[in-house]
Amino acid sequence: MKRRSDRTDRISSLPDDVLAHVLSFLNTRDAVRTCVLSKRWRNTWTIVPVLNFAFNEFPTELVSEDDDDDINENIKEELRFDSFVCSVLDNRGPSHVDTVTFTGEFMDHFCEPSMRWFHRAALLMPQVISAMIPYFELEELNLPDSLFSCASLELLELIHCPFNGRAYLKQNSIALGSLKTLMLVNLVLDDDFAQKLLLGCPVLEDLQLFNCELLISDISSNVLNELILDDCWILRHMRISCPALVSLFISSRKNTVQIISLENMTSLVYATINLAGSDDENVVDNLPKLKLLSCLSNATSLQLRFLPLPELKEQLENDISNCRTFYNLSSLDIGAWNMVKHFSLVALFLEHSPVLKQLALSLNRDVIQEMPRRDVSFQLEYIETVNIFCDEKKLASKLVRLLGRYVKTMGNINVRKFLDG
Amino acid sequence: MARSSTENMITLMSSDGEEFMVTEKVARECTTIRNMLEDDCVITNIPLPNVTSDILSMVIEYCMEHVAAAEKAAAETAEKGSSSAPAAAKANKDLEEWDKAFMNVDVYTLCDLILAANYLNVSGLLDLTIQTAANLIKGKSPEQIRKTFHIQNDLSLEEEEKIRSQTPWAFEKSE
Repeated sequence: MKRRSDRTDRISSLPDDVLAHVLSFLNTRDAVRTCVLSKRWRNTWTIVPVLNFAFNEFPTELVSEDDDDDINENIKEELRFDSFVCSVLDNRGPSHVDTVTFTGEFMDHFCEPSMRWFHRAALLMPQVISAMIPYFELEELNLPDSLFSCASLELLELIHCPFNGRAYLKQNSIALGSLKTLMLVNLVLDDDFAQKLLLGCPVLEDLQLFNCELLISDISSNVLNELILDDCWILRHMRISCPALVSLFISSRKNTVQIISLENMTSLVYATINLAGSDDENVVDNLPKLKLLSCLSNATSLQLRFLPLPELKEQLENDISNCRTFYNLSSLDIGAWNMVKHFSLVALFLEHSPVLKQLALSLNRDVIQEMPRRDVSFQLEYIETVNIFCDEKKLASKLVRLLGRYVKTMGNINVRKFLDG
Repeated sequence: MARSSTENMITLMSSDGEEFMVTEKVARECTTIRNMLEDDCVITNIPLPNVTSDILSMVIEYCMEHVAAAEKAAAETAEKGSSSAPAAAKANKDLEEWDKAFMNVDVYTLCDLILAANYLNVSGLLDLTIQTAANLIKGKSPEQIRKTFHIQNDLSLEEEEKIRSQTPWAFEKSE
């Protein structure tokens, strides 16, 4: 059935909202430039519900041969981008905007244009704002209040340009009544910010902090569902008390394990806690007693990475025992832990995890130690899969033998070379 | 995997009168049809006056592929307790490859698919087709875009110049 010539213009006959949808997948510059295609396209860009401002669409123009005037070039480039953003906002129609994004590393030499954009973006009442925050020559970053009081916002992502370390985010007030997800990257956050945030965002379900310095002593929320602290510097003892939290991910390479205390985590199902390594420069004194594992008793999946110092061993043992039983734990992954030396800790986990199905153990190569001559008072019936990550075969087989004392039958045993080393 | 023996069959009828028998599960991939079924569960014959048979057969092909992939993943999870990450990643990649091959169509068909996906509300297919169309526009000059989509430029040279001069911020330093 041939019903057309292949040279028919079909796209121009799509309804306005469908064409606008197509243009919403483009950077705004490309979208605007469709205005000269034909009469049909003259104003289509003005109703696109998504604004994607990409700084890298405005590369430096090589006008002069002088390269020593880099700063001036940069400034010209910034002015051009600023004029583009403002022109788009001035000339687009009054139709609804649901998403505004700013991408690309931008140096705001005037410390002003980008603040204006964020302010104007917030006034459009979008559901989503995702922005690279330009690098300012300022230590403190104070974003427009309109952004932090935008009632329609459900998702906010703020990524600080990583040119020159992190910026200290200070806000006068926070009132984001609809905000469900917040992602912050490359910032310094303190107690003042955290308190305002948790109070000002009554439905915040998902908090994701990447590469941030945290001077936060308390994260308490009854609505938080997911918490990610990835690659963060935790510079102060942090208490996390979130009874609705289902998923917890903490990765902070420069801390001892006591830096975090968990409380009231009754809904927690998935937890990854990676606090391997200690950092002599960032020692925090007077840390409270370890309180971590006892809160994870409802979890089905745990991934733990930390190096217990010798004096912590007893605390860890107490902590595990306080939990009594990991009734739901089906997947346990332990690594960066002085495993063989402290095998009693692994054994404690096995003893307290009646439904364990999958066990993964990662070993450092340098920890061949004596096997403990401990009486085995319990035995697990069956573990489906045991994965051992280890560079030395001998060490791995030693571990398998050791496990054999505690587990009657192991389904699959896989020994692999280190992946995450 | 629960394979119910009494799986409901639904007949979808294209604008040119061709009938397509599909399982209810496949039909439900179209949110528009799912809503009809939920409003009136005894409905078995659905006319789709906005979709021609050649496009409808492609939409059904897409839905069947994606239902099959989802069923396969669910079956594996049920069998092994949890699906292994590498297997899931491979299945995803296979489906992506399939999508990519599926999008190897002329721009006319692509636009018809966008319209059908929009009307039937098949969100995966809508995203796929719209992304494909957007990729054909991305970074291209107006002349290239016109050529790709066979758009007739009905603006006179003066009119086009006028638009460009009214929006210099969009056109300065092009390419």
